[in-house]
Amino acid sequence: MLDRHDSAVRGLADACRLGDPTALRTALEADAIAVCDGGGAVPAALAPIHGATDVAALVADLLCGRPGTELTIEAVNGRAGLALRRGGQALAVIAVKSTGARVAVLWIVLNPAKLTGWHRR
Amino acid sequence: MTDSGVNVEPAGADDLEAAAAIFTSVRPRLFGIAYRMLSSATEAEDLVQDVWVRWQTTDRSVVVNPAAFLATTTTRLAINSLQSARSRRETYIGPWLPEPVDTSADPYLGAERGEALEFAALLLMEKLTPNERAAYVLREAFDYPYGQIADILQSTEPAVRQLVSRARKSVTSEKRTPVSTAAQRELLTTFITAARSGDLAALERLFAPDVASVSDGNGAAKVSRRPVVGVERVAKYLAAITWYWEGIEVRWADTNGQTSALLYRDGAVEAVLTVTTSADGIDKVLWMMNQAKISALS
Repeated sequence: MLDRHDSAVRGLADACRLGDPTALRTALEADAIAVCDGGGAVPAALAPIHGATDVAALVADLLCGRPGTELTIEAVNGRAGLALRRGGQALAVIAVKSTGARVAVLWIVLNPAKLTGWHRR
Repeated sequence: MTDSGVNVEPAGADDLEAAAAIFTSVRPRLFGIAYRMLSSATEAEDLVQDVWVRWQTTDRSVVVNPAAFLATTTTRLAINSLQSARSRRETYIGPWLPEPVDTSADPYLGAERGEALEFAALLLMEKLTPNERAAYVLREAFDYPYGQIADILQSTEPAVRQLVSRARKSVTSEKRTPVSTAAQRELLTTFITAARSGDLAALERLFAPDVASVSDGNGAAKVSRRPVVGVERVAKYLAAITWYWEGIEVRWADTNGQTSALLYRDGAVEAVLTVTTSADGIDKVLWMMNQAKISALS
């Protein structure tokens, strides 16, 4: 039932495009977790973020409404995930784990050294 | 590995062309092995390139099975690389995550199956020894026979079986994640709505592939009916009994961390309905019936 996972990811992406904090929170499990990998090259949280409220705030900050950026749904390691690009340059790739129809874990890769395969044109 | 490092005589152009053709045909598989071992597309790419260089300078006339030889070379190099990669990661700033790969063109990344590819699996595989990881990857994603894995790892078949089973335990321990109480209740609500209206498509969307519907007459043998198994069958069964919901009032109860629906008719509980879930959706629909009323559903 991959489509449940897909709709969880779609739900998060839609909430992000709307920039709606409430919608973001409802797309997440109450005990959602976000882990950021910046590799010391870009600013990123150094500890995992726990709980829908904090994860929603992080996602809003990092992925939503940044000028000139585009958030797309991609096949990340065999499952639906997300990519954030500006002018074709990947700024973040996000692998997602969902439970039911909500997002449970976000693995947010921000380290530029790990995004070279994700630039488009 | 017959890697003398010395090329005895210059290879002919035809021979090199044949060598390149063989290499190109197995390249996606080699990359799939290397990526699953190293969680890095960049490092896997370098490693596969290294295998290509070695393949060019190998005395290929003695290689009986080129595909097996190349997979062996890739795996052994990956085991070595993983050891140094792990020591490098000890000084990594902040959380370390795998390097993501785009699988839109090749969902299983060169393998027979999608195992050992998702982020959750790659992170769990970090806990394995390089040999355990290699055995797990070759077996679970690429379906290699145990005997062949033993050859690749210069080990024995029983030892490889041990490696794979240990690895499976650590990697799959967190596979079937139960969903949170809130999500389970939401799923149950959606399920009841779909069951009441007999909406086949909506029901099928909620179910895990191995879903089963089980009725239990409080343990009384004569009312325990055979379970209905499979997405289509369970959906059809529910769609066939929509009449049952006439006059039913649903109330909620939390029993041992699970939300159940209490089905009331004329002010009395007639049945308790609950669902268990995995990450794939509802995998069990459990009806606990009031014995006096069980016949209504038969």
